[in-house]
Amino acid sequence: MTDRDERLTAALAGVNAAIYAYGRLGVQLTGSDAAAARAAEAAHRDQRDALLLALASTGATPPPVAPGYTLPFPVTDRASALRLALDVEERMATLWRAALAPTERADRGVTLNGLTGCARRATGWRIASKVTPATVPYPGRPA
Amino acid sequence: MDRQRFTRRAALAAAAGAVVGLSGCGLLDGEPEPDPAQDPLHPLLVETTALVASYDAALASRPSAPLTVIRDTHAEHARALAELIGAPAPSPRPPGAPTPPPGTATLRAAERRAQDSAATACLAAPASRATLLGEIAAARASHGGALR
Repeated sequence: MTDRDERLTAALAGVNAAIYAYGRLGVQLTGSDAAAARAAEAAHRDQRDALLLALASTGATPPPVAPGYTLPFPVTDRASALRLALDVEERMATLWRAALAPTERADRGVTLNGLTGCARRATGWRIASKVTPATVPYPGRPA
Repeated sequence: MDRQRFTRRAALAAAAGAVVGLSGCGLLDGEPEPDPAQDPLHPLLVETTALVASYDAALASRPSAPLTVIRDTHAEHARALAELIGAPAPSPRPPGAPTPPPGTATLRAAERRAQDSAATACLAAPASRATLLGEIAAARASHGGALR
């Protein structure tokens, strides 16, 4: 498997987990938070479709979707739902960031869109949950 | 005679090998240091330094913690870009007349343009530069939401 296929496959696995997580956390949110979670989930679904196309174009085999995922902590209320949403975006950002160097042209465009969207949404979730600072200098870079 | 020719050829080959070896090390290749001003990322560095100045002007009229964080992010990006292209570290406050303090809408528009610049640079960059440029584009994308 090429580095490109490996990184995009890892991103696809991450996006599948992100979609699952938003399904679980969205029910704990109301109003503008719930709307933001729905928009985020839709964005991850679009990213998943773009990744499936990219991987199909080179004949790479996409990983099977896991039937369920273990959440990193229980999601029982608004605070834990917001925390998970931020966690999802930060983890996903590291997967996208790692795919920037080994991709080119359209693949890198998909990857950059993914990273950019995660950074934007992570800031939104930090603001919603009053985490400061709301922005980081290098989105996706491991601490 | 034959022996002499052989020796001469061997000496030439050895000399050629030495030159190739040295130029491989970059000692004798005569290439000047690349000019940072000619680097395709130089305009991005200039734009980034200008963003720092804009935030400095905004902060002078209305101090704010989120603005300071974003200002420091641009300064950090300028430092990283300068290091990448071998340019001198940008001065924190470029000399010149103080600019009028930009409002939030102006800063937000500047962030959008700067995000486009970084994204375009990222898509055109070799692998070795793609990660930093992508991080910079993503950071700028996140700034609009934090500008209140």
